[in-house]
Amino acid sequence: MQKSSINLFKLPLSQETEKNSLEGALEEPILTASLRFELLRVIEALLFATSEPIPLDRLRQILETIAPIKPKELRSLISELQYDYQVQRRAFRLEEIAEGFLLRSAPEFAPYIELMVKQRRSERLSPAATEVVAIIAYRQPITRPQVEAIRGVDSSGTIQNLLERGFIAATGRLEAPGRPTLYCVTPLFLQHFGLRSIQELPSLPITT
Amino acid sequence: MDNNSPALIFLQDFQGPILLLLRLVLKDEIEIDKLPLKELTHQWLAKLKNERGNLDTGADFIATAATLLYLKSCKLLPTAIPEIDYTIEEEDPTFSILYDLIDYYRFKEAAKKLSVLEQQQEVVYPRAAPPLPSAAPPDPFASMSHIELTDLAVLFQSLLLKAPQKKESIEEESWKVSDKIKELESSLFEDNCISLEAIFTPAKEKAEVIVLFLAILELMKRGRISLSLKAGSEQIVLEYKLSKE
Repeated sequence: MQKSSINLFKLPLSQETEKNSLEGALEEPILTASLRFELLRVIEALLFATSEPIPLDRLRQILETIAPIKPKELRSLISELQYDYQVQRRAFRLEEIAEGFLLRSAPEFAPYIELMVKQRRSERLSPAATEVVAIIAYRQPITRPQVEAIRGVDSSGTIQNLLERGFIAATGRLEAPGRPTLYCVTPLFLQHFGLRSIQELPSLPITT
Repeated sequence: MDNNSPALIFLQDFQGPILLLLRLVLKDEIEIDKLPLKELTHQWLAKLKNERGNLDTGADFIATAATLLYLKSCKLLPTAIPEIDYTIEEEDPTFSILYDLIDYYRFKEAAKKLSVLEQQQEVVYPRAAPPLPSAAPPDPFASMSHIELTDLAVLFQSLLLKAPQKKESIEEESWKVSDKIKELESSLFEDNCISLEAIFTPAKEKAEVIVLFLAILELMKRGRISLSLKAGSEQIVLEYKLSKE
């Protein structure tokens, strides 16, 4: 009697799981636990070995040498790693920055790291340079005369400076008399200001 | 660099940083025609003399003060009375200036937000050392950082002395920089590293030496080659940089 009851109990369940797995196979293949673990470790190794943000596509390209993986699955793997580090209270974090992923130390350890490196990570931009780079970031692509029209002052020196530091780059020329150069911000800009992407710029204040 | 102590201004109706003044003017809280800009400028000049050197705040002030001055002069100047009604409606100059100012002000605010973000980033360190400067656009002078202009001049002089003193009449150009560039590139393509001596031997005539020298300079300017001192010797070596394509 016991047996039959178990069978009765199990039958609908097994049918259901079969149905689920069938649907799953059609929609998105579920990574097996061991494969998932392996992929996680590969991502960790890649992040460990780099000092610059790795774009999602690049990660995917590399991981696809192991198994086909969807961007969505990759994202979930990355958030799993992020979660792991958080739970394990690691001194570093996995952060999305400048359209890529990067391991960085948690802010509370800055005092000690400063003792080790003995210098600031990178020089701060002057107020004028920050202003120019802000205008370029919000209005890109933009020419120097357009920047100057907004600021009302000559900005050639500042733009040259930003070009040298790699925060902006010439991306083309405006089809207008003189064909002035158009400038855009670079991934280095995003990295410097800790932005995930250009869409993450703080919103422009609206004054009336 | 920090704007920790923004320059304060003391006028009859206003005390505070100049940016606040601009803001109040924009919001019509203070009437611009009643602002004693002369007094304001005097105060600032006195301040600048005391501080000596903080260029950033100085430049900021000049920009802000100039816009204030501009606004005021626009307001004070009598607007010409239009006798004929032009069909084209002219924009109110105060309005368009105000509009520009507001636009500028928005970016100024945005820049402040960015500065805050920048400061937050300073306490977060990436996994390894910051990227090497090689990520930056190639510096055309990097390849000759250890060679002074005088070194090149001395070298050129010594080569000139070696060149046979041959007199000739000027006719068609027999040596072209562009030809020499091609020549140099093809020989560098075979051998990645050639000493400067070898390029100028066998002894060539004066014009050719000059053209060859120009070709080398041109290639350096384009970042195609670099010159370096060979370790342990006086020899200068030409090195071909592989193009990045």
